[in-house]
Amino acid sequence: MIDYLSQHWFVILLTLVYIFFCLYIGWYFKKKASSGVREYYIAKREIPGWVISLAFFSTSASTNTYIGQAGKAFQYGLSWAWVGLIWAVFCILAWLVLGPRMRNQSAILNSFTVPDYFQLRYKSDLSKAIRMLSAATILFATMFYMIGIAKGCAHVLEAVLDIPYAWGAFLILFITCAYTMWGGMYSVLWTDAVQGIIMFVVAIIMVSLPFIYVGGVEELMTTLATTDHVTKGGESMGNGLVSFGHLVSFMYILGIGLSIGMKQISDPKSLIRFYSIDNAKSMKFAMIWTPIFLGISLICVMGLGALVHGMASQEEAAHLIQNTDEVVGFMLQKMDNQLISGICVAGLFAAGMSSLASVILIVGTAFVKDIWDAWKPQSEQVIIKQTKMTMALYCALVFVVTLFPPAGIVELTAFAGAVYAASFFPAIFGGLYLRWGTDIAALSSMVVGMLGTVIWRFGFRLRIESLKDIHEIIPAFLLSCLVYLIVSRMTKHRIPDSEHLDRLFSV
Amino acid sequence: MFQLPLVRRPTAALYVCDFMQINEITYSLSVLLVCMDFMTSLPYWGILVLVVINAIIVSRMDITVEDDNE
Repeated sequence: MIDYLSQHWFVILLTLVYIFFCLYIGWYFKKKASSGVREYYIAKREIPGWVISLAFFSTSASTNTYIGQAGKAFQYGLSWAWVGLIWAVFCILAWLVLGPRMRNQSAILNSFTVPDYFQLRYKSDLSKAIRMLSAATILFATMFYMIGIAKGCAHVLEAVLDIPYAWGAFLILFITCAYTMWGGMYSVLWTDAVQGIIMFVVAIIMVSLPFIYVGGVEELMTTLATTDHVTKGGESMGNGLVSFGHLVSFMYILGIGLSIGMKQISDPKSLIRFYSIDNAKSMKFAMIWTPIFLGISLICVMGLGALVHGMASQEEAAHLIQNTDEVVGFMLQKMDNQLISGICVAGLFAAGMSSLASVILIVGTAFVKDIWDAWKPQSEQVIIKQTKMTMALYCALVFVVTLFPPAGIVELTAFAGAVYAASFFPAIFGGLYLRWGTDIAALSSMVVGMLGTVIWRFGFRLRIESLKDIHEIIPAFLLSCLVYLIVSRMTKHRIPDSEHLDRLFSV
Repeated sequence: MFQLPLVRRPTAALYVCDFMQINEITYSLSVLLVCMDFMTSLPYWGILVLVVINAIIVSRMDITVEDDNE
């Protein structure tokens, strides 16, 4: 025990300081958040732009980015950064196309969640069903996402602090759950902002490690171009790490890039950020700075795994290529520096916690406000209490499944992203921009999007070799958009009354 | 012969560059990009170009935000 502490004291100290800080923020906002549903769910729409900007960035980039995506570059080379480019494009689109409109319409409708936006926007006898279906979709897709994040953090703790996988997963899930339960959206956004700053700094530190280890840019790049490491299939990599399309097909990059990038235009944990922003100046700030924070971090992180080849022997590379989620942990182990490991573990924890906190709150609000309360209305204090209870129970369920994770981090989170994008985007975009969008179209596109994602993945992609690189996001998204447009045109009599639409589209 | 007072500016700029090791950083970045083929390096500099264009577009936009409907 003494040996262990003397070896890891600095990492443990930094991690503990960071954890106590997050818990303190949750505790600090406890009273304010619990005063009403508006406070607990959307922080009373009074959060400044710089906090929202950093919170959006830290929520979008998670353990999936810092561990999963960074590790994938070990297998696919530096061209994996194309995923980052697609991601940055959708971040910009999310803020340009959805941000101001979502903020304005949600304020006009007095909407607190994305599912209740659907009900209030489409305003019909069917809109409650749309709300409940979208809440159920959130509960389904979030499970995969949370497992991916908990798995990534548990791997880092295992590699850096020798904490058993199960304990690592338990710690990340329940510490995050605790401060989210206490402070609701206030603690989620303020901790996210601080986590965003840490993540930004850690991204820059992490990308510099392989260069420092090998001894310079030229040395490392020469090593990568002439590596004798082998691919997952056992063939020599040659100069594949620095050449486009040698180790991975562009279709695969496009599929993963779209499914992760498009989450920003459809995932409730990202969209809900727009709800809490306080004024136009803040909106403008966030629209400019969020892509900058995210873009620079992605430049640093997306090719990181490929650079780690310069630090690994042939045997180590052969192991890592089969287990890409362990690449970042391996890099920190190899550097063997307490200070760097401590800062990076705090950053990786921050990446995981910021995304986990947001989805934990979304799960609680979806189940309680959009299913339970929509079915049987309750008082505000009961809603808050039930939301807290739901969050704790869902985390317990995620913990059990994380012990037997069904796939790698990237695939898990990309699948969740595909479900959101295909199910929600047409109804959101149509709701915000198309006066002639109807409730039946929204419902149909959601059903088609969800079924399309699941059927393509399990019925075609995983069974037919020639289709394995065509990610479910592509056919499912196109199909659901098409269904929304066609059904809206076919059901013109279901368009909400013009007084309601005039009020919505007046801004 | 008349001497332009601006002569001091490049000297100062070179001093700043030297102090911040900008030459080394620029050299390292160029090595980094040259070692990859064009399509592999595109996303790295492409992201930077995109965020700059976005910043210019947004700074020229007129944005309004509705008051909360309590």
